[in-house]
Amino acid sequence: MEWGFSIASYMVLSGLAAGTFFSGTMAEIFSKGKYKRLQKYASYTSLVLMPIALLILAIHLGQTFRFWRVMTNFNSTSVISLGAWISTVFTICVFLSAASWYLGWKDGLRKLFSYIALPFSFLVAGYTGNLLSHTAVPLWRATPYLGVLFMISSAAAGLAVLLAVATSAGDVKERTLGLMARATIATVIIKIVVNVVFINILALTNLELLSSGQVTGQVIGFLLSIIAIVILAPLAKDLFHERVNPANMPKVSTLITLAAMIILVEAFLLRYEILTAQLYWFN
Amino acid sequence: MPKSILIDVSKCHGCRGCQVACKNWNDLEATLTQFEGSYENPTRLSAQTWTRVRFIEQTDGGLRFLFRKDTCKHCTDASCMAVCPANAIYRKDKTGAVIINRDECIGCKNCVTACPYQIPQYSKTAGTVAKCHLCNEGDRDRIGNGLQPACVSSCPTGALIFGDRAELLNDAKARVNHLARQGTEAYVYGEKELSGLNVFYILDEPSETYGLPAKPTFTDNDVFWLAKWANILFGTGLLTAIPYYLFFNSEEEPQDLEADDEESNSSEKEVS
Repeated sequence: MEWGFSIASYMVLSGLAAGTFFSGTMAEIFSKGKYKRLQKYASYTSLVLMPIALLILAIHLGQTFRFWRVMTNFNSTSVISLGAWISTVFTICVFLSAASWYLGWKDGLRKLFSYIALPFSFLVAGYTGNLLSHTAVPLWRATPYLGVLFMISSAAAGLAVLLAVATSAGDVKERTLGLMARATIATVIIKIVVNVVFINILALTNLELLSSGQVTGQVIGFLLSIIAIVILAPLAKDLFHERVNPANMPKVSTLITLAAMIILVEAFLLRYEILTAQLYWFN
Repeated sequence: MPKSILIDVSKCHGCRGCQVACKNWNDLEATLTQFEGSYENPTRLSAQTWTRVRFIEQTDGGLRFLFRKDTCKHCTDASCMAVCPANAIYRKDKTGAVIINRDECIGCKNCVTACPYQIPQYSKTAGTVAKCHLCNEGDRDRIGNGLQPACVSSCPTGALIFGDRAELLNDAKARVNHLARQGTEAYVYGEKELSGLNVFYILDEPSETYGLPAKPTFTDNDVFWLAKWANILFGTGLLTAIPYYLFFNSEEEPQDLEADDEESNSSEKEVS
Protein backbone atom coordinates (compact mmCIF):
# COMPACT_ATOMS: atom_id res chain seq x y z
CA MET A 1 0.00 0.00 0.00
CA GLU A 2 1.43 3.31 -1.03
CA TRP A 3 -0.59 5.96 0.71
CA GLY A 4 2.37 7.40 2.56
CA PHE A 5 4.68 10.38 2.15
CA SER A 6 3.29 11.76 -1.12
CA ILE A 7 -0.37 11.46 -0.07
CA ALA A 8 0.45 13.03 3.31
CA SER A 9 2.17 15.87 1.40
CA TYR A 10 -0.89 16.29 -0.82
CA MET A 11 -3.18 16.29 2.18
CA VAL A 12 -1.16 18.86 4.09
CA LEU A 13 -0.65 21.16 1.10
CA SER A 14 -4.27 21.12 -0.03
CA GLY A 15 -5.34 21.59 3.60
CA LEU A 16 -2.89 24.44 3.90
CA ALA A 17 -4.16 26.12 0.73
CA ALA A 18 -7.73 25.82 2.02
CA GLY A 19 -6.82 26.84 5.58
CA THR A 20 -4.91 29.90 4.39
CA PHE A 21 -7.77 30.91 2.15
CA PHE A 22 -10.52 30.68 4.73
CA SER A 23 -8.29 32.35 7.32
CA GLY A 24 -7.85 35.42 5.14
CA THR A 25 -11.46 35.44 3.98
CA MET A 26 -12.93 35.01 7.46
CA ALA A 27 -10.61 37.74 8.81
CA GLU A 28 -12.05 40.03 6.15
CA ILE A 29 -15.65 38.99 6.82
CA PHE A 30 -15.52 39.27 10.62
CA SER A 31 -13.65 42.57 10.53
CA LYS A 32 -16.19 43.91 8.02
CA GLY A 33 -13.47 44.56 5.50
CA LYS A 34 -10.87 46.15 7.77
CA TYR A 35 -8.40 43.35 7.24
CA LYS A 36 -9.17 42.57 3.65
CA ARG A 37 -5.51 42.80 2.74
CA LEU A 38 -5.16 39.42 4.45
CA GLN A 39 -7.63 38.05 1.93
CA LYS A 40 -5.31 39.18 -0.83
CA TYR A 41 -2.33 37.35 0.68
CA ALA A 42 -4.55 34.35 1.33
CA SER A 43 -5.67 34.23 -2.31
CA TYR A 44 -2.13 34.50 -3.64
CA THR A 45 -0.78 31.88 -1.22
CA SER A 46 -3.59 29.42 -1.97
CA LEU A 47 -3.12 29.96 -5.67
CA VAL A 48 0.50 28.81 -5.32
CA LEU A 49 -0.16 25.90 -2.93
CA MET A 50 -3.22 24.28 -4.49
CA PRO A 51 -1.71 23.53 -7.93
CA ILE A 52 1.39 22.09 -6.23
CA ALA A 53 -0.85 19.83 -4.10
CA LEU A 54 -2.81 18.68 -7.16
CA LEU A 55 0.41 18.07 -9.07
CA ILE A 56 1.73 15.85 -6.25
CA LEU A 57 -1.56 13.94 -6.29
CA ALA A 58 -1.43 13.47 -10.06
CA ILE A 59 2.18 12.25 -9.91
CA HIS A 60 1.24 9.83 -7.14
CA LEU A 61 -1.41 8.17 -9.33
CA GLY A 62 -0.30 5.00 -11.02
CA GLN A 63 -1.53 6.49 -14.28
CA THR A 64 -0.69 10.19 -14.02
CA PHE A 65 -1.90 11.01 -17.51
CA ARG A 66 -5.30 9.52 -16.81
CA PHE A 67 -5.84 12.18 -14.16
CA TRP A 68 -8.39 13.88 -16.40
CA ARG A 69 -10.65 10.84 -16.21
CA VAL A 70 -11.63 11.92 -12.70
CA MET A 71 -12.99 15.10 -14.24
CA THR A 72 -14.92 13.31 -16.95
CA ASN A 73 -16.59 10.96 -14.47
CA PHE A 74 -18.73 11.61 -11.43
CA ASN A 75 -19.39 9.04 -8.74
CA SER A 76 -21.47 10.35 -5.86
CA THR A 77 -20.38 7.49 -3.58
CA SER A 78 -16.69 8.15 -4.14
CA VAL A 79 -15.05 10.64 -1.78
CA ILE A 80 -12.17 11.07 -4.22
CA SER A 81 -14.61 11.93 -7.00
CA LEU A 82 -16.42 14.45 -4.81
CA GLY A 83 -13.09 15.78 -3.54
CA ALA A 84 -11.79 16.24 -7.08
CA TRP A 85 -14.83 18.30 -8.05
CA ILE A 86 -14.72 20.31 -4.82
CA SER A 87 -11.00 20.99 -5.30
CA THR A 88 -11.61 22.08 -8.88
CA VAL A 89 -14.32 24.57 -7.96
CA PHE A 90 -12.17 25.84 -5.09
CA THR A 91 -9.08 26.25 -7.28
CA ILE A 92 -11.02 28.11 -9.98
CA CYS A 93 -12.56 30.48 -7.43
CA VAL A 94 -9.17 31.06 -5.77
CA PHE A 95 -7.71 31.83 -9.19
CA LEU A 96 -10.50 34.31 -9.89
CA SER A 97 -10.13 35.88 -6.44
CA ALA A 98 -6.37 36.29 -6.93
CA ALA A 99 -6.92 37.61 -10.46
CA SER A 100 -9.39 40.15 -9.07
CA TRP A 101 -6.74 41.45 -6.72
CA TYR A 102 -3.98 41.44 -9.31
CA LEU A 103 -5.98 42.99 -12.13
CA GLY A 104 -7.96 45.35 -9.90
CA TRP A 105 -11.36 44.00 -10.83
CA LYS A 106 -14.42 45.33 -9.00
CA ASP A 107 -14.29 44.55 -5.29
CA GLY A 108 -17.81 43.14 -5.40
CA LEU A 109 -16.71 40.64 -8.01
CA ARG A 110 -13.69 39.67 -5.94
CA LYS A 111 -15.92 39.20 -2.89
CA LEU A 112 -18.31 37.06 -4.91
CA PHE A 113 -15.51 34.68 -5.94
CA SER A 114 -14.09 34.60 -2.41
CA TYR A 115 -17.40 33.93 -0.74
CA ILE A 116 -18.24 31.16 -3.20
CA ALA A 117 -14.84 29.61 -2.49
CA LEU A 118 -15.26 29.81 1.30
CA PRO A 119 -17.54 26.76 1.86
CA PHE A 120 -15.50 24.83 -0.67
CA SER A 121 -12.34 25.68 1.27
CA PHE A 122 -13.90 24.06 4.37
CA LEU A 123 -14.56 20.92 2.37
CA VAL A 124 -11.10 20.86 0.77
CA ALA A 125 -9.55 21.20 4.24
CA GLY A 126 -11.58 18.34 5.66
CA TYR A 127 -12.43 15.92 2.86
CA THR A 128 -9.10 14.09 2.98
CA GLY A 129 -9.86 13.02 6.54
CA ASN A 130 -13.31 11.99 5.43
CA LEU A 131 -11.71 9.98 2.61
CA LEU A 132 -9.82 7.92 5.19
CA SER A 133 -12.95 7.43 7.32
CA HIS A 134 -14.66 6.16 4.19
CA THR A 135 -12.54 3.01 3.83
CA ALA A 136 -12.43 -0.47 5.31
CA VAL A 137 -9.21 0.20 7.23
CA PRO A 138 -10.13 -0.30 10.90
CA LEU A 139 -8.33 2.68 12.45
CA TRP A 140 -9.39 5.12 9.75
CA ARG A 141 -12.95 3.86 9.83
CA ALA A 142 -13.17 3.83 13.62
CA THR A 143 -14.29 7.45 13.77
CA PRO A 144 -16.11 9.73 11.33
CA TYR A 145 -14.27 12.70 12.83
CA LEU A 146 -10.98 12.45 10.96
CA GLY A 147 -12.31 15.13 8.61
CA VAL A 148 -12.93 17.42 11.56
CA LEU A 149 -9.44 16.77 12.90
CA PHE A 150 -7.84 17.48 9.53
CA MET A 151 -9.89 20.61 9.07
CA ILE A 152 -8.89 22.10 12.41
CA SER A 153 -5.30 21.19 11.68
CA SER A 154 -5.58 22.92 8.30
CA ALA A 155 -7.06 26.00 9.98
CA ALA A 156 -4.14 26.25 12.42
CA ALA A 157 -1.51 25.66 9.74
CA GLY A 158 -3.22 27.99 7.27
CA LEU A 159 -3.47 30.80 9.78
CA ALA A 160 0.16 30.34 10.82
CA VAL A 161 1.35 30.43 7.21
CA LEU A 162 -0.80 33.47 6.48
CA LEU A 163 0.74 35.17 9.51
CA ALA A 164 4.22 34.36 8.22
CA VAL A 165 3.35 35.61 4.72
CA ALA A 166 1.81 38.81 6.06
CA THR A 167 4.84 39.43 8.28
CA SER A 168 7.33 38.88 5.49
CA ALA A 169 5.29 41.11 3.16
CA GLY A 170 6.13 43.89 5.58
CA ASP A 171 3.15 46.12 4.85
CA VAL A 172 0.67 44.79 7.40
CA LYS A 173 0.34 46.76 10.60
CA GLU A 174 1.70 45.39 13.84
CA ARG A 175 -1.76 45.31 15.41
CA THR A 176 -3.00 43.09 12.59
CA LEU A 177 -0.11 40.72 13.15
CA GLY A 178 -0.90 40.67 16.86
CA LEU A 179 -4.52 39.77 16.18
CA MET A 180 -3.42 37.03 13.82
CA ALA A 181 -0.96 35.66 16.36
CA ARG A 182 -3.77 35.53 18.93
CA ALA A 183 -6.14 33.84 16.49
CA THR A 184 -3.40 31.33 15.59
CA ILE A 185 -2.84 30.47 19.25
CA ALA A 186 -6.59 30.05 19.80
CA THR A 187 -6.88 27.80 16.74
CA VAL A 188 -3.90 25.69 17.82
CA ILE A 189 -5.49 25.28 21.25
CA ILE A 190 -8.80 24.20 19.64
CA LYS A 191 -6.81 21.76 17.53
CA ILE A 192 -5.11 20.30 20.61
CA VAL A 193 -8.51 19.86 22.29
CA VAL A 194 -10.01 18.19 19.20
CA ASN A 195 -6.93 15.96 18.95
CA VAL A 196 -7.20 14.90 22.58
CA VAL A 197 -10.93 14.23 22.18
CA PHE A 198 -10.23 12.23 19.01
CA ILE A 199 -7.60 10.06 20.69
CA ASN A 200 -9.78 9.56 23.75
CA ILE A 201 -12.75 8.50 21.61
CA LEU A 202 -10.46 6.00 19.88
CA ALA A 203 -9.04 4.80 23.18
CA LEU A 204 -12.51 4.33 24.67
CA THR A 205 -14.08 2.63 21.67
CA ASN A 206 -11.27 0.95 19.77
CA LEU A 207 -8.32 0.69 22.12
CA GLU A 208 -6.84 -2.24 20.22
CA LEU A 209 -6.36 0.00 17.18
CA LEU A 210 -4.11 2.46 18.98
CA SER A 211 -0.48 1.55 18.48
CA SER A 212 2.33 2.79 20.68
CA GLY A 213 3.80 4.50 17.61
CA GLN A 214 0.61 6.44 17.11
CA VAL A 215 0.46 7.53 20.73
CA THR A 216 4.10 8.63 20.46
CA GLY A 217 3.23 10.58 17.31
CA GLN A 218 0.36 12.31 19.09
CA VAL A 219 2.63 13.24 22.01
CA ILE A 220 5.23 14.69 19.62
CA GLY A 221 2.48 16.63 17.85
CA PHE A 222 1.21 17.95 21.16
CA LEU A 223 4.69 19.08 22.18
CA LEU A 224 5.24 20.81 18.82
CA SER A 225 1.94 22.65 19.23
CA ILE A 226 2.94 23.80 22.70
CA ILE A 227 6.31 25.05 21.40
CA ALA A 228 4.52 27.03 18.67
CA ILE A 229 2.20 28.58 21.26
CA VAL A 230 5.14 29.47 23.52
CA ILE A 231 6.86 31.21 20.58
CA LEU A 232 3.75 33.11 19.53
CA ALA A 233 2.40 34.03 22.97
CA PRO A 234 4.70 36.96 23.77
CA LEU A 235 4.43 38.18 20.19
CA ALA A 236 0.67 38.20 20.39
CA LYS A 237 0.74 40.11 23.66
CA ASP A 238 3.45 42.61 22.70
CA LEU A 239 2.28 43.25 19.18
CA PHE A 240 -1.23 43.82 20.36
CA HIS A 241 -0.37 46.41 22.94
CA GLU A 242 2.56 48.28 21.56
CA ARG A 243 4.44 48.79 18.40
CA VAL A 244 7.44 46.63 17.84
CA ASN A 245 10.70 48.42 17.61
CA PRO A 246 11.52 48.38 13.88
CA ALA A 247 14.98 47.13 14.76
CA ASN A 248 13.40 44.02 16.28
CA MET A 249 11.18 43.29 13.29
CA PRO A 250 13.59 40.82 11.61
CA LYS A 251 13.73 38.87 14.86
CA VAL A 252 9.94 38.92 15.16
CA SER A 253 9.62 37.81 11.56
CA THR A 254 12.02 34.93 12.13
CA LEU A 255 10.13 33.76 15.20
CA ILE A 256 6.79 33.90 13.41
CA THR A 257 8.24 31.92 10.49
CA LEU A 258 9.67 29.38 12.95
CA ALA A 259 6.30 28.99 14.67
CA ALA A 260 4.58 28.58 11.29
CA MET A 261 7.11 25.93 10.27
CA ILE A 262 6.55 24.01 13.52
CA ILE A 263 2.78 24.06 13.07
CA LEU A 264 3.25 22.96 9.48
CA VAL A 265 5.51 20.06 10.48
CA GLU A 266 2.94 19.04 13.08
CA ALA A 267 0.18 19.09 10.46
CA PHE A 268 2.26 16.85 8.22
CA LEU A 269 3.15 14.44 11.03
CA LEU A 270 -0.50 14.16 12.04
CA ARG A 271 -1.50 13.03 8.56
CA TYR A 272 1.55 10.87 7.91
CA GLU A 273 1.22 9.10 11.22
CA ILE A 274 -2.47 8.32 10.66
CA LEU A 275 -1.77 7.18 7.08
CA THR A 276 1.03 4.82 8.02
CA ALA A 277 -0.45 3.55 11.30
CA GLN A 278 -2.41 0.84 9.51
CA LEU A 279 0.06 -0.37 6.91
CA TYR A 280 0.10 -3.82 8.53
CA TRP A 281 -3.60 -4.21 7.70
CA PHE A 282 -2.93 -4.48 3.98
CA ASN A 283 -1.94 -7.88 2.62
CA MET B 1 -29.31 -14.89 -12.71
CA PRO B 2 -26.01 -14.18 -10.89
CA LYS B 3 -23.33 -16.81 -11.20
CA SER B 4 -21.42 -17.90 -8.16
CA ILE B 5 -18.60 -20.03 -6.88
CA LEU B 6 -19.27 -22.04 -3.74
CA ILE B 7 -16.10 -22.82 -1.80
CA ASP B 8 -16.50 -25.75 0.58
CA VAL B 9 -13.53 -25.61 2.93
CA SER B 10 -14.37 -29.04 4.30
CA LYS B 11 -13.43 -30.54 0.93
CA CYS B 12 -10.31 -28.46 0.23
CA HIS B 13 -7.00 -30.20 0.86
CA GLY B 14 -4.76 -27.31 -0.14
CA CYS B 15 -3.37 -28.62 -3.43
CA ARG B 16 -3.26 -25.07 -4.85
CA GLY B 17 -4.34 -26.27 -8.26
CA CYS B 18 -6.69 -23.28 -8.40
CA GLN B 19 -3.75 -20.91 -7.92
CA VAL B 20 -1.90 -22.45 -10.84
CA ALA B 21 -4.98 -22.61 -13.09
CA CYS B 22 -5.70 -18.92 -12.48
CA LYS B 23 -2.12 -17.96 -13.30
CA ASN B 24 -2.15 -20.07 -16.45
CA TRP B 25 -5.48 -18.95 -17.82
CA ASN B 26 -4.93 -15.27 -17.13
CA ASP B 27 -1.31 -15.35 -18.24
CA LEU B 28 -0.11 -13.92 -14.94
CA GLU B 29 3.63 -13.82 -14.44
CA ALA B 30 5.26 -16.16 -12.00
CA THR B 31 6.69 -14.33 -9.02
CA LEU B 32 9.49 -15.29 -6.69
CA THR B 33 8.01 -16.24 -3.33
CA GLN B 34 9.22 -17.76 -0.11
CA PHE B 35 7.76 -19.58 2.84
CA GLU B 36 7.13 -17.42 5.87
CA GLY B 37 6.80 -19.85 8.72
CA SER B 38 4.13 -22.09 7.23
CA TYR B 39 3.41 -24.05 4.09
CA GLU B 40 1.32 -21.16 2.78
CA ASN B 41 2.82 -19.86 -0.43
CA PRO B 42 2.44 -17.20 -1.66
CA THR B 43 1.62 -15.48 1.61
CA ARG B 44 -0.30 -12.64 0.03
CA LEU B 45 -2.26 -11.73 -3.06
CA SER B 46 -0.65 -9.46 -5.64
CA ALA B 47 -1.40 -7.94 -9.01
CA GLN B 48 0.04 -11.18 -10.45
CA THR B 49 -1.70 -13.52 -7.99
CA TRP B 50 -5.46 -13.19 -7.97
CA THR B 51 -6.20 -16.24 -5.91
CA ARG B 52 -4.33 -18.27 -3.34
CA VAL B 53 -5.01 -20.90 -0.73
CA ARG B 54 -4.61 -19.70 2.81
CA PHE B 55 -3.15 -22.22 5.24
CA ILE B 56 -4.28 -21.89 8.83
CA GLU B 57 -2.51 -24.11 11.33
CA GLN B 58 -4.39 -25.09 14.47
CA THR B 59 -2.15 -26.56 17.12
CA ASP B 60 -4.62 -27.06 19.97
CA GLY B 61 -4.83 -30.81 20.59
CA GLY B 62 -2.57 -31.79 17.72
CA LEU B 63 -1.81 -30.17 14.38
CA ARG B 64 -4.73 -29.46 12.06
CA PHE B 65 -4.59 -27.58 8.78
CA LEU B 66 -7.47 -25.41 7.63
CA PHE B 67 -7.52 -24.31 4.01
CA ARG B 68 -9.42 -21.47 2.38
CA LYS B 69 -9.20 -20.28 -1.19
CA ASP B 70 -8.95 -16.50 -1.05
CA THR B 71 -10.15 -14.44 -3.98
CA CYS B 72 -12.51 -11.63 -4.93
CA LYS B 73 -15.99 -12.24 -3.52
CA HIS B 74 -17.77 -10.22 -6.25
CA CYS B 75 -19.92 -8.64 -3.55
CA THR B 76 -23.40 -7.37 -4.28
CA ASP B 77 -22.47 -4.29 -2.24
CA ALA B 78 -19.05 -3.86 -3.81
CA SER B 79 -17.08 -1.16 -1.99
CA CYS B 80 -14.40 -1.10 -4.68
CA MET B 81 -17.02 -0.13 -7.24
CA ALA B 82 -18.62 2.41 -4.90
CA VAL B 83 -15.42 4.36 -4.28
CA CYS B 84 -13.84 4.33 -7.76
CA PRO B 85 -13.59 7.96 -8.90
CA ALA B 86 -12.99 7.01 -12.53
CA ASN B 87 -15.93 4.57 -12.71
CA ALA B 88 -13.38 2.01 -13.87
CA ILE B 89 -15.00 -0.81 -11.89
CA TYR B 90 -18.25 -2.23 -13.17
CA ARG B 91 -20.56 -5.20 -12.70
CA LYS B 92 -21.57 -7.61 -15.42
CA ASP B 93 -25.35 -7.71 -15.30
CA LYS B 94 -25.64 -11.31 -16.45
CA THR B 95 -23.21 -12.89 -14.02
CA GLY B 96 -22.76 -10.34 -11.21
CA ALA B 97 -18.98 -10.38 -11.72
CA VAL B 98 -17.26 -7.19 -10.49
CA ILE B 99 -14.58 -6.26 -12.98
CA ILE B 100 -11.80 -3.65 -13.09
CA ASN B 101 -11.35 -2.05 -16.50
CA ARG B 102 -7.59 -1.59 -16.35
CA ASP B 103 -7.67 0.71 -19.37
CA GLU B 104 -9.76 3.14 -17.33
CA CYS B 105 -8.11 2.65 -13.91
CA ILE B 106 -6.14 5.72 -12.80
CA GLY B 107 -4.22 3.93 -10.06
CA CYS B 108 -5.53 5.98 -7.11
CA LYS B 109 -5.70 2.84 -4.93
CA ASN B 110 -8.93 3.90 -3.25
CA CYS B 111 -10.43 0.46 -3.96
CA VAL B 112 -7.44 -1.13 -2.20
CA THR B 113 -8.35 0.74 0.99
CA ALA B 114 -12.11 0.22 0.61
CA CYS B 115 -12.32 -3.56 0.18
CA PRO B 116 -13.01 -5.28 3.53
CA TYR B 117 -11.37 -8.44 2.15
CA GLN B 118 -8.20 -6.66 0.96
CA ILE B 119 -8.56 -8.12 -2.52
CA PRO B 120 -7.68 -5.44 -5.13
CA GLN B 121 -3.92 -5.31 -5.60
CA TYR B 122 -1.92 -2.43 -7.01
CA SER B 123 0.72 -3.12 -9.64
CA LYS B 124 3.63 -0.69 -9.63
CA THR B 125 4.65 -1.88 -13.08
CA ALA B 126 1.25 -1.37 -14.69
CA GLY B 127 0.24 1.57 -12.51
CA THR B 128 -3.21 0.06 -12.13
CA VAL B 129 -5.11 -2.24 -9.79
CA ALA B 130 -5.89 -5.87 -10.61
CA LYS B 131 -8.07 -8.64 -9.22
CA CYS B 132 -10.07 -11.73 -10.19
CA HIS B 133 -12.72 -11.11 -12.85
CA LEU B 134 -14.47 -14.47 -12.39
CA CYS B 135 -13.07 -15.51 -15.79
CA ASN B 136 -15.69 -13.25 -17.32
CA GLU B 137 -13.75 -10.53 -19.12
CA GLY B 138 -12.61 -9.89 -22.68
CA ASP B 139 -10.57 -12.60 -24.37
CA ARG B 140 -10.25 -14.43 -21.03
CA ASP B 141 -14.02 -14.87 -20.80
CA ARG B 142 -14.73 -18.50 -19.96
CA ILE B 143 -18.22 -18.04 -18.51
CA GLY B 144 -19.42 -16.24 -21.61
CA ASN B 145 -18.19 -19.21 -23.63
CA GLY B 146 -20.02 -21.78 -21.55
CA LEU B 147 -17.04 -22.82 -19.45
CA GLN B 148 -16.42 -22.78 -15.74
CA PRO B 149 -13.88 -20.37 -14.20
CA ALA B 150 -10.36 -21.79 -14.51
CA CYS B 151 -9.97 -22.31 -10.76
CA VAL B 152 -13.18 -24.35 -10.54
CA SER B 153 -12.29 -26.55 -13.50
CA SER B 154 -8.98 -27.46 -11.88
CA CYS B 155 -10.33 -28.41 -8.45
CA PRO B 156 -9.83 -32.18 -7.94
CA THR B 157 -11.97 -32.57 -4.80
CA GLY B 158 -15.13 -30.67 -5.67
CA ALA B 159 -14.36 -28.01 -3.09
CA LEU B 160 -15.15 -25.39 -5.74
CA ILE B 161 -18.53 -25.51 -7.45
CA PHE B 162 -19.73 -23.05 -10.08
CA GLY B 163 -23.35 -22.33 -10.98
CA ASP B 164 -26.42 -20.18 -10.45
CA ARG B 165 -26.28 -18.50 -7.09
CA ALA B 166 -29.72 -19.55 -5.90
CA GLU B 167 -29.05 -23.20 -6.72
CA LEU B 168 -25.64 -23.12 -5.10
CA LEU B 169 -27.12 -21.65 -1.94
CA ASN B 170 -29.52 -24.56 -1.72
CA ASP B 171 -26.65 -26.99 -2.31
CA ALA B 172 -24.63 -25.24 0.36
CA LYS B 173 -27.40 -25.53 2.93
CA ALA B 174 -27.84 -29.20 2.11
CA ARG B 175 -24.12 -29.72 2.57
CA VAL B 176 -24.24 -27.88 5.92
CA ASN B 177 -26.99 -30.25 7.05
CA HIS B 178 -24.99 -33.22 5.83
CA LEU B 179 -21.94 -32.07 7.79
CA ALA B 180 -24.11 -31.54 10.86
CA ARG B 181 -25.25 -35.15 10.66
CA GLN B 182 -21.59 -36.13 10.61
CA GLY B 183 -20.96 -34.06 13.72
CA THR B 184 -19.34 -31.04 12.10
CA GLU B 185 -20.87 -27.68 12.84
CA ALA B 186 -20.73 -25.70 9.61
CA TYR B 187 -22.49 -22.70 8.14
CA VAL B 188 -22.72 -20.62 4.98
CA TYR B 189 -20.66 -17.44 4.92
CA GLY B 190 -21.64 -14.93 2.25
CA GLU B 191 -25.35 -15.50 1.94
CA LYS B 192 -26.23 -12.17 3.49
CA GLU B 193 -22.89 -10.48 4.02
CA LEU B 194 -22.66 -7.31 1.90
CA SER B 195 -26.11 -8.14 0.53
CA GLY B 196 -24.75 -11.43 -0.74
CA LEU B 197 -21.35 -12.54 -1.98
CA ASN B 198 -21.09 -14.18 -5.38
CA VAL B 199 -18.15 -16.19 -4.12
CA PHE B 200 -19.29 -17.66 -0.84
CA TYR B 201 -18.15 -20.32 1.59
CA ILE B 202 -19.11 -23.27 3.69
CA LEU B 203 -17.03 -22.75 6.84
CA ASP B 204 -16.54 -25.07 9.79
CA GLU B 205 -14.85 -22.59 12.13
CA PRO B 206 -15.59 -18.95 13.04
CA SER B 207 -15.02 -16.71 10.02
CA GLU B 208 -12.19 -14.86 11.79
CA THR B 209 -10.29 -18.14 12.11
CA TYR B 210 -10.33 -18.33 8.33
CA GLY B 211 -9.28 -14.67 8.01
CA LEU B 212 -12.71 -13.41 7.03
CA PRO B 213 -14.34 -10.51 8.90
CA ALA B 214 -17.52 -11.47 10.75
CA LYS B 215 -19.13 -8.19 9.78
CA PRO B 216 -17.56 -6.91 6.57
CA THR B 217 -18.14 -3.21 6.01
CA PHE B 218 -19.52 -1.51 2.94
CA THR B 219 -18.35 2.03 2.27
CA ASP B 220 -21.69 3.25 1.05
CA ASN B 221 -23.41 6.55 0.59
CA ASP B 222 -25.76 6.36 3.56
CA VAL B 223 -27.15 8.88 6.03
CA PHE B 224 -24.21 8.33 8.36
CA TRP B 225 -21.86 9.11 5.50
CA LEU B 226 -23.70 12.30 4.60
CA ALA B 227 -23.61 13.27 8.27
CA LYS B 228 -19.84 13.10 8.14
CA TRP B 229 -19.83 15.73 5.45
CA ALA B 230 -22.30 17.86 7.38
CA ASN B 231 -20.02 17.59 10.41
CA ILE B 232 -17.17 18.96 8.41
CA LEU B 233 -19.03 21.83 6.83
CA PHE B 234 -21.05 23.08 9.77
CA GLY B 235 -19.50 21.78 12.98
CA THR B 236 -15.91 22.44 12.16
CA GLY B 237 -16.64 25.55 10.19
CA LEU B 238 -18.22 26.94 13.32
CA LEU B 239 -15.25 25.89 15.43
CA THR B 240 -12.71 27.49 13.12
CA ALA B 241 -14.75 30.68 12.92
CA ILE B 242 -14.61 31.26 16.68
CA PRO B 243 -11.08 32.75 16.81
CA TYR B 244 -11.83 35.02 13.86
CA TYR B 245 -15.04 36.20 15.46
CA LEU B 246 -13.33 36.79 18.79
CA PHE B 247 -10.33 38.67 17.50
CA PHE B 248 -11.38 40.30 14.25
CA ASN B 249 -14.93 41.28 15.09
CA SER B 250 -13.89 44.27 17.21
CA GLU B 251 -16.31 47.16 17.25
CA GLU B 252 -13.49 49.35 18.47
CA GLU B 253 -11.84 51.21 15.62
CA PRO B 254 -8.18 50.29 15.77
CA GLN B 255 -5.83 53.24 15.85
CA ASP B 256 -2.98 51.73 13.96
CA LEU B 257 -4.73 50.44 10.90
CA GLU B 258 -4.29 53.52 8.81
CA ALA B 259 -2.17 51.77 6.23
CA ASP B 260 -4.69 48.95 5.83
CA ASP B 261 -7.54 51.37 5.55
CA GLU B 262 -5.65 53.59 3.17
CA GLU B 263 -4.97 50.68 0.93
CA SER B 264 -8.59 49.60 1.07
CA ASN B 265 -9.73 53.06 0.21
CA SER B 266 -7.23 53.50 -2.58
CA SER B 267 -8.10 50.17 -4.16
CA GLU B 268 -11.76 51.02 -4.02
CA LYS B 269 -10.98 54.37 -5.64
CA GLU B 270 -8.99 52.64 -8.34
CA VAL B 271 -11.92 50.41 -9.07
CA SER B 272 -14.37 53.26 -9.17
